[in-house]
Amino acid sequence: MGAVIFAIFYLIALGFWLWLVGFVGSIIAVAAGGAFAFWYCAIYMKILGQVMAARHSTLSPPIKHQPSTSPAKGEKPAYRHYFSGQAWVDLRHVLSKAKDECVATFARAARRVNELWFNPDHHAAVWPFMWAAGIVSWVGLLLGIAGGTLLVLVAAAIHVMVVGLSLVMAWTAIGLLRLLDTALLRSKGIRISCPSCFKRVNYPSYDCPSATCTIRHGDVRPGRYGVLRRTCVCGTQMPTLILLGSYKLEAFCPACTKPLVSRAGTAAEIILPVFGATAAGKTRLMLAITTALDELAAEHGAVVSAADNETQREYNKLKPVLVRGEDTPRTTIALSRALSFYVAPASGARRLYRVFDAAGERFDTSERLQELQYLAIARSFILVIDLLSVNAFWDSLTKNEQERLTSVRLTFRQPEFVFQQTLQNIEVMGGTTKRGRLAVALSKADLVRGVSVLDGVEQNSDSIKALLDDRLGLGNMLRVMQQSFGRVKFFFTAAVVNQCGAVDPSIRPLINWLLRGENLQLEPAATATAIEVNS
Amino acid sequence: MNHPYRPLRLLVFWSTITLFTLVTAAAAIRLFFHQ
Repeated sequence: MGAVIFAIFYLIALGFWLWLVGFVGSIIAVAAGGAFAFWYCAIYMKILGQVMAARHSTLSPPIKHQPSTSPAKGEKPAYRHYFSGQAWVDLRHVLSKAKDECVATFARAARRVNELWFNPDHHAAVWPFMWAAGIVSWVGLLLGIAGGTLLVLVAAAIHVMVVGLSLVMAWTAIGLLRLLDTALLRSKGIRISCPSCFKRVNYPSYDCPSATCTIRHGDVRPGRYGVLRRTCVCGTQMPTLILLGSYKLEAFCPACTKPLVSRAGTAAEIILPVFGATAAGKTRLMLAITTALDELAAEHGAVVSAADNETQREYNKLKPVLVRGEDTPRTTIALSRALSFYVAPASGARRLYRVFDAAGERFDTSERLQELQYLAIARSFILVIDLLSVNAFWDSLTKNEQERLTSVRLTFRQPEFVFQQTLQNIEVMGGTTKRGRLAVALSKADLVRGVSVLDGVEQNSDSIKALLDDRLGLGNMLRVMQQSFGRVKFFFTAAVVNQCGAVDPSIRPLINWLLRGENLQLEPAATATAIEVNS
Repeated sequence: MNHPYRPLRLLVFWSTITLFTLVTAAAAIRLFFHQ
């Protein structure tokens, strides 16, 4: 009887329990499941934050492309930019970590549910009560997993979308930045050439700005090693474009590894090769032109400054020689660095004026001449002719004049040879002179002034041309000049300074004419023309 | 060891640029078709 009553009470209690568990428990299970789902989401967000915000090796995934100080071929000693592989590694890392932690959380919760409701240690009579609660707990748990997984997938999808769009944007920016930089350089007529090997430089190489790092970076332009900045293997960042400030770094020629001028790529170049026979007066003329340019700039509010330390050193060494009226040291046959100056006019863009001088022996053979790569990229040229070297001129001098000048007749190489040889090699090197300007400078005018053969010759281009053609028999060379160059002009030049230290006025018309051809005007047009006409 | 990537900053930066570009492009297209 007792057992029957117990069974009735047991069944009533079980029924009430099932009702309670089924109704109230389900509500609790759904709420717990919801909380569980958000817990999953919180796990994902926590890991995302750890990987994305706190960059530490214990939390972050390994770097996909670890840079090296001695990189393999095709690689560079710099970190690849984030969207060049690492973003996907991070994304996969977040997903994998989140999955592991979610699975572990689920396993813990499942174990707790099983321990709580499916514990065989309990009396068999309470098993149905426990199982009922356990089943409802499992339903809540499974609902939580389903909801949590869904939320995590949505968060991951947003992450993927953000990374994907950022990646597309970053690569678009890379293309646009490169295009913009090229367009800006082109529109300003800026091209970079090496002052040592004279080759055109596509883009300079830069030393890492860190004082303790010795890595040199070639072609730092935006690409897989950085969009706006490149990160050196040492961790130091540097701009990727001249436009973005890379000109502030020390620049080097990628071909010969010698230093370029400071702030390379910020000004259009004026390349001025000076060519002529040995001892024709090239170095002296180059020096006089540079000094006169300095004087001209000072008079008209422009600023001339040495573009590199070598130029400053060389100029400081040579200028006193010119001022003292001594002979300039003979130019060595070895390739010498160009003298480079920045010329900032009172109004208008700054220019990089670069004058190239080579030993006269270089013009004797094509092999040596072809090393002067700057001849192929120049648009203005100065041919220096020492009248004393022209046989017809020498023969026209009186005995007395010959005696007076014989000590300064240092070269016997005829100008036609040097000119033809140079012109031929410019063409071989792929240069074009058709639109170029050739200034023919008859040097040492101070020495030959007053000689009989120059009677009636005026200080203007036409008169000098007539002298060369009619009296000195250089007509053939003149005709080739006229045919080969866009414009040719003749000047008498005396590369000397007067007692006040000012360069002889014969140099100015030459400078004005050359600079005007390069769209750089320091002197007001009217003044420049007046000087030119009077000369 | 720390490494040089700052993903959160990069993602925020490039997402903002992307958003700005998309909004500008959408506005431009809308303006174009309304004229």
